[in-house]
Amino acid sequence: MSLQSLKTRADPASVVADAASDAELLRAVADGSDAAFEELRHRYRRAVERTCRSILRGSAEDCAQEAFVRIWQKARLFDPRRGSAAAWLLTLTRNVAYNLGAKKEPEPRELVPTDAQAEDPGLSVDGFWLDAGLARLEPHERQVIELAYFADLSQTQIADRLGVPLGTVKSWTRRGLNHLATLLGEETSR
Amino acid sequence: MTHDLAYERLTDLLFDRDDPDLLGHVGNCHVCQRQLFLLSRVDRLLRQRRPRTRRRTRRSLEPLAIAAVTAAAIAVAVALPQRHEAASARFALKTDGGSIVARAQVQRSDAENESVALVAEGLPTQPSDTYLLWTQGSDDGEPLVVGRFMVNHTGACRARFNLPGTRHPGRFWITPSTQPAAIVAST
Repeated sequence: MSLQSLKTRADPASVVADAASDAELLRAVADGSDAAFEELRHRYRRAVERTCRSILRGSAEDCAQEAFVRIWQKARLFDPRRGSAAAWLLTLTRNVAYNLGAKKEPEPRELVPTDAQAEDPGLSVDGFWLDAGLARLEPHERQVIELAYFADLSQTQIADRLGVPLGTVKSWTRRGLNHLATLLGEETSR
Repeated sequence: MTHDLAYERLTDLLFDRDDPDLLGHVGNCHVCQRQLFLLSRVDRLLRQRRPRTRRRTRRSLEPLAIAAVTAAAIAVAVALPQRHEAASARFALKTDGGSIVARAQVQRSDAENESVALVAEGLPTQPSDTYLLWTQGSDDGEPLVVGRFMVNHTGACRARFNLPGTRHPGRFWITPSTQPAAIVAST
């Protein structure tokens, strides 16, 4: 089943604010909002793909596609009193990945996550959420944070690479990290 | 330093840029303390995501995440003006009944600063799970807050505080944060 064929209901909200929480997006998706679904997919695409890759150790495309189909179908089952949206999305994605893995691999024992997988930050709720948080930053804020943490560049090196003043890099980094922390606070307080 | 400016610059504490004015504000601002706690979690998540071959040592705020608000201790300590000459000292903190519930080690961390490492075990979690570590000024003997820390459900905690090397810490004691007069344990 394709995502397009699923999205046939009327969209009650033509515009979904970037500021909407993940839980609010899931509620809107349950009500049939295409815009909410697209925003949710924008935020969690990398996290879902990363989780699929971690579990299946291979191509994540089918898994991610199937995960978002399930999200669209089952959003109404999300209950914020039982946990965060990120935790619900991670659980659903894991289940999809394990089910897909089971179809390929007849021995269920091999589908149990290993210690190494359990330590994979992509498989923790916070690690899963991180990609969604990064996706909500302004592109330049995300870029300087990724260069600082993932490429291990100093702020001076980042300034040189991007051709912007050092003060600008510091400002973008501060804003991006503070924005991420604020989003994490909102996520964990729900 | 204004709150808005301090709030914006909290991230500097992740990159080894200690600013006494900033720390002084954080020590008295619960909003900034909470944001710093969240920033430390974000920092940890980002460092975990870093490719293993590129991971390098950067200040880890994990103890801060556990103790929640050790910055308060730094801010109080920064205000102390004298030089400390002792190199290292260990203390056991005991209850009135003689049970050791915490140990502290004071160690010079650089030419100007000392670190206080506190390991607590079995502190009561009621009526509060947040405690203050106190010491006594060497000159005037006035009680000084070294730092605030939070214990887990078993009453355990590991926290580290920063002290400028400005005085001879003498007696240490612990009180609930809500009852500064009720000494739970002391050296």
